[in-house]
Order: sequence, then structure tokens, then C-alpha cells
Amino acid sequence: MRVLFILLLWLVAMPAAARPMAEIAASGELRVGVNPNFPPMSSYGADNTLGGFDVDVARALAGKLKVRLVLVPTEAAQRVPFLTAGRIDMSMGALTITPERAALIDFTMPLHSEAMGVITTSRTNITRWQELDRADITIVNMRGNQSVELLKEKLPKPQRLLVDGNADTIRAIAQGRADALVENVDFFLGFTRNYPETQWKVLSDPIYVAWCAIGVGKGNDSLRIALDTALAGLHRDGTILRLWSKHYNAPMTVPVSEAQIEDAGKTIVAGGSGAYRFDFSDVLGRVPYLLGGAVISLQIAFLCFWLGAAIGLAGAIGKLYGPAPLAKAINVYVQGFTNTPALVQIFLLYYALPDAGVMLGAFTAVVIGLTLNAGAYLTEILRAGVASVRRAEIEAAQVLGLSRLGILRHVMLPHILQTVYKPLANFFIILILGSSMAALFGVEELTGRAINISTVNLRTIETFSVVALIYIGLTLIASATLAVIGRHWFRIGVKRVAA
Amino acid sequence: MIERIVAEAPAFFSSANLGFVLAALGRTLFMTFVGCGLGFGIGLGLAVLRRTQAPMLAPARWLAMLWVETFRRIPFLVILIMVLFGVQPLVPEISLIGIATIAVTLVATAFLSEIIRAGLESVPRAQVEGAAAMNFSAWQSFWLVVLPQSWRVILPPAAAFMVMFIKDTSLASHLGVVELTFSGKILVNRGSSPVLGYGIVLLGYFILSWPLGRLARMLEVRLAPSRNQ
Repeated sequence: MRVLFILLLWLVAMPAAARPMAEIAASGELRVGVNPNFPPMSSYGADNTLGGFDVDVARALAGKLKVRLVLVPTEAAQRVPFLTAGRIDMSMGALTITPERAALIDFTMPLHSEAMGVITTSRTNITRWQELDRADITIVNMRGNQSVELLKEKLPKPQRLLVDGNADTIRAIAQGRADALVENVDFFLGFTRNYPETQWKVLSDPIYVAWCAIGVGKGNDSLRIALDTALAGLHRDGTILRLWSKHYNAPMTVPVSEAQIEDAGKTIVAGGSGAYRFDFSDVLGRVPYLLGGAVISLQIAFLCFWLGAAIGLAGAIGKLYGPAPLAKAINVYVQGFTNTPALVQIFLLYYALPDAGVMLGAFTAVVIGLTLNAGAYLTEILRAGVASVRRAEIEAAQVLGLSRLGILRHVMLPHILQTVYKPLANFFIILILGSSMAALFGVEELTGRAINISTVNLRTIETFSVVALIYIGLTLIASATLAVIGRHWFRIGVKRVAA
Repeated sequence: MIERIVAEAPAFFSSANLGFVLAALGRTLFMTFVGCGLGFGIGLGLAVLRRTQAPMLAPARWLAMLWVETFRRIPFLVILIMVLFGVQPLVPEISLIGIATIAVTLVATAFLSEIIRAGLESVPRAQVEGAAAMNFSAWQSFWLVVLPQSWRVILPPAAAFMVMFIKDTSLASHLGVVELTFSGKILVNRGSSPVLGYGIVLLGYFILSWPLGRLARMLEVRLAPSRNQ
């Protein structure tokens, strides 16, 4: 009940969480959000601790503020939400200054520049970035990066592939899922070393230059001013450029100018209290887009259910009536798949199979993965149903001269369905919910679309509340439909079919 | 592909990497056990609450039902994201694994409460009435009559649920909890072959899940209620 109470409390008032400088100094700790998968900015080194440019800058800043540095792994899409939540005091990880972000958080002076170039391979024969504007080109990008929106204006024609992490972008190009990445070349080039066989090509003429700064909580002026003062010192004594060269093995393409350092001292951010206000307007306008995603979620669930049921029926019959080696093989399949997570099975299908020359699209990989997983579980469920058919009934049907197919259709299936209808209906609901993991592979089903929306409007709680309601509605409708079908067609006196 | 795996294997199976994966496996176990343990406790409370009949408690019963029905109809991934963004403004100090554990608790409470309720209802009503006739208080009849008989119905599916949830916690990797799946992701992003990186993760889950699943099934066989009551 306490959790429920906390949830209610949170619904009533979302407190301002940003810690002012005095509180940080008193606690003796500065909590800095850095990306755990972003070399050479920050990543886990061979000793499994975080290191990189951001980490060194953060350490220098903490030193100037005379507090201890606490690093908080923060994925790209969570850089702003972690700040607004007060989980971290400042956010790094190449946080580009944008108006959308400035509405929710405050920025220090620029830390470094971000010159947008193109990383591609010898497969594409382009020499200038403008040549990328073709419909047969696929540009990969990362959810939550501001370049996603900007590119829609500069390069409207190419197709887009959205992935979850920095490393995934380069992997997608190496595996041939995408042709090019338009991003800050410096940030992403490090990953190309993982794919030495690919002939990488870099077009470094900048499409545009953007500036990255350190993010702090909205209205947390005391911390922002303290950081600006410290940063100005690090810029002027050359520490920033030195650290950049150390980690990138090259100077910063466009360094931060003295004018920008001067300017930061003068900016006074107007008002802006730290209190969070709910704003559902954006997500409510996108409900049709979300419902479109729900249709894709249902498609995945349907496909995986029927394909899985076919595997399951074959598996159940094979296990019960097949020769011993077959039954053993089926058992290995069932144990293997039911004792490991579907998510990791799909990771293997999606990321490891290309090494063997088999390239699956995200949707296909998810459907195959979930189908194999469902097949294993359904083998177990259907086995109970098949076992409920008594041998005597089959023998009686044989005596009556029914064919093998006829026995299956007229004697076994009705029996099996009677026994397993309820667990099958439950499993279908589980599949609807399970299909949400497709989002982690860039499939734009319900959850995927929610992530798309929330990384742009930064209204995660609002967006996901609406999405949760859609899932509840979806599963309620599915449960009710299944209960009606069960009662009418299979005479199953189910009062309620629940997940 | 095979050559790459063979070439990488000696460096991959270094003690540093194995220790890293082992620590991550510990976090997976922690989330599952603590989350399902708390979920069992709260779920028991909800199940008992839903059996009460006092009109005063009607709104509480209604809320308990709402909780159970809601959290069984939202994907775990969505719950994880909502807990992440909902809880940290209130408790900014909480760790990511703490957040994942809260999400596990919320879901486990909903599912386990239904399992417990089915178990409690498996005890024939006549026994409760008999206890009442013998002047047992409601508490005595619950503690001395209903609960001892329902354990054998509750424990096997509850154990099976927990074993199932070990695998569902892999979604916590999306938050950045360095659990088993995320450890594989880090190894692969550092340049290891995906077959090795995710293969060792699959093996880790199997080592956790298979023996526990066997244990749950043994429990089921040993506790199976006799059919001739």
C-alpha cells in the first residue's frame, strides 16, 4: 500500500528536485550523468569502470567545486528526464543546446562543438552530403538525438532507421541495414574499429555546426553559475581542448570561442521555477499515431500466436507420440527457449546472425524470436491438451475408418481445444504485452512509437500514461472477445478470461 | 564467424569479464527475489483484503482489484519506464536497480495476489463455516484453517511465476541496470562477438532458470493435494 500511497502523492504534486549549489556542497557529492556506451566521451573501459572526455571534464569540474564526483550511467534518451527528475545534478553526453530542451532544463556555456558530417562505406559512391538525398538511401540515427528532427529538413528523401544506442548505429551500417549516418563524426568513428572488414568512408565537410553544453535543472541558477565560472577557467587555460585531443587523437574541429565564454556570464535566464507541470496536450494530439502502433502490436501478437501454435501442436504430438530421439530433441528445444529470455534470443537473431550472412529486419527478427519462444511455451500448454485425448478414443476412430487427418481434425482437436482454450487465451494476452520488446529493436509498434514521441516532446510520464491506458484497453477488448468466442464456439463456461 | 569466435574466445573469457557477468547475474537474482518476495507479501495482503466482506472496506477492495487488473495488462517494459520517471522525482537518491525492483514488485504483486486468491478459495467454504460454528475468530479461521491448507495450492504456481520473472527482468537492461542482459550488451559494444557476448548471457539465464524450474516442479509433485478429499 505504501507504493500506492507514493504514487498518489506523486499524482498530487511533483516536487522540484534540482539541488542548488549549497545543497550539493553540503552533501559533498556532484552527481553527473554520463553515457555508459559512448566512447571516447564516456564508456566502460577494460577494467569495467567509466572513463573518457566527459568523465575527465566532470572530474575537473568537481575538483573546482571541491566536491566528490559520482558518475551516473545515463543513456542518451534519459539525459533530460534524469535532470528534470533530479536524479542527477548535471547532464553530459554531448547534450546539444536546443529550444525544446531549453524549455525543460538550463544550459551552461558550450562545452564543445558538434560538426555534423557523414559516415558511410564504399558501398555508396557519394562524395558530398547533398547526394544522400535519395529515396534508396537509408540513414540510421539514434532515438533522442536532436539531429533526427534537423535531418528531416536537410535530407527529406532517404528512409530512416532509428536505433537505441551509439554503437548500434555503426553496427547497422556495417551489417548493411543502413547506408549512412549523419552525425558528429568524431563521436561515432570510434565504433568503426569494431568492424575492420568494412571499408569506411568519412565526409567531413560539416552540414552544420551545433553546440553541446552541460545541462542543469530548470532554474538551478546557483549550480549553473558555479559551473559556468569553473568551465570558463577550464576553457581559458586550455584544459578542455587538451582533454579533447587526448581522447579523440585530433583537435576539436570548431573550438568554443572567447565570445561564447564572455556571453555566458551575461545571460540571465528569465524566471522559470523548478516545479514540474503536467502537459498532456502533445501526446493527446498523437493518439491516432499511437493507435496505429497498437495495430502493429496486434499484428505481431497474431503472427507469433498462430505460428507458435503450429510449432506447439507439432511439438506436443511429437513429444507424446513420436520416437524417443524426436521427443528428446523437442525437449531440448522447449527447455532451451523457456529457460532464457525472449529479449536475448532476439538480440542473438538480430545482431549475431548477420555475422553468418543472414540479415533479418527488425520486425522479422522480433517475430521469429517471439514465435520460437511462443512455440516452446505452447508445446508445453498443448501437450497437456493432447495428453487429455485418451488412447481408446483414437483407437475407436481408427476402427471407424477415419484417416489420420480426420482423427486429428474430428477427434483430437476438439478435445485439445476444450482443455487448453483458457491457457491459450491467457498466452495470447501475454504475447500482446510481450510484443512491446519489439520497440527495443526500432520496430514502431505501440511502445516504439511512445518512445519516439517522448524523446522529442520529453513528456515521458504523460506519454506513457496514455500508452498504458491503450494497452489496458487493448487487452480488455482481446480478453472479452476471446471469452465470447470461447463460450459460443467451444462451449467453455468461462466467466472471465484474464491474463 | 566461427574463426572470429575461436580467435576471440581466450580474451573474452578473461577473469575480469567473467567477474563482470557474474556480478550482473547477482543483480538479476536480486531484482527477481526481492521484487517477487515483496510482491508475495503485498499480494497476500491484497488477496486477504479481497476476501473481506465488511461494507466499510468496499473501496479498498475495489482499489485492490483495480491494482491487480491494471498491472497485469501493461507490458513490463512500459511499467519499468513509468516507474523510472514516476518514482525518481520523489526519491532522487534511489538506484536504478531499486527502480527496477519496484517495477518487479508492482507486477509480481498483481500476479501473485491472483495466485494466492485462487489458493485461498481452494479451501472449501464449509470448513470456514465449520470454524465459525466452533467460535473461531476470523483471524483464527484464516490462520489455523484456511492458510495451512492453501499453501500447497499457492506455492507451486508462485514458484513457477518467480522462475518466469527471472527472464522478464532482462528488460531492465533498457533502463541501464547492469544486470545480466546489459552486461552482454556492454561486452558486445566493446567489440566482442555477439555470439559470445549474448551466448554467455543466455547460458547465465539457463543456469539460473533451469534448476529453479526443476525445483518448482518437484514442489508441485510433492505438494499436490490428494484427490480424494
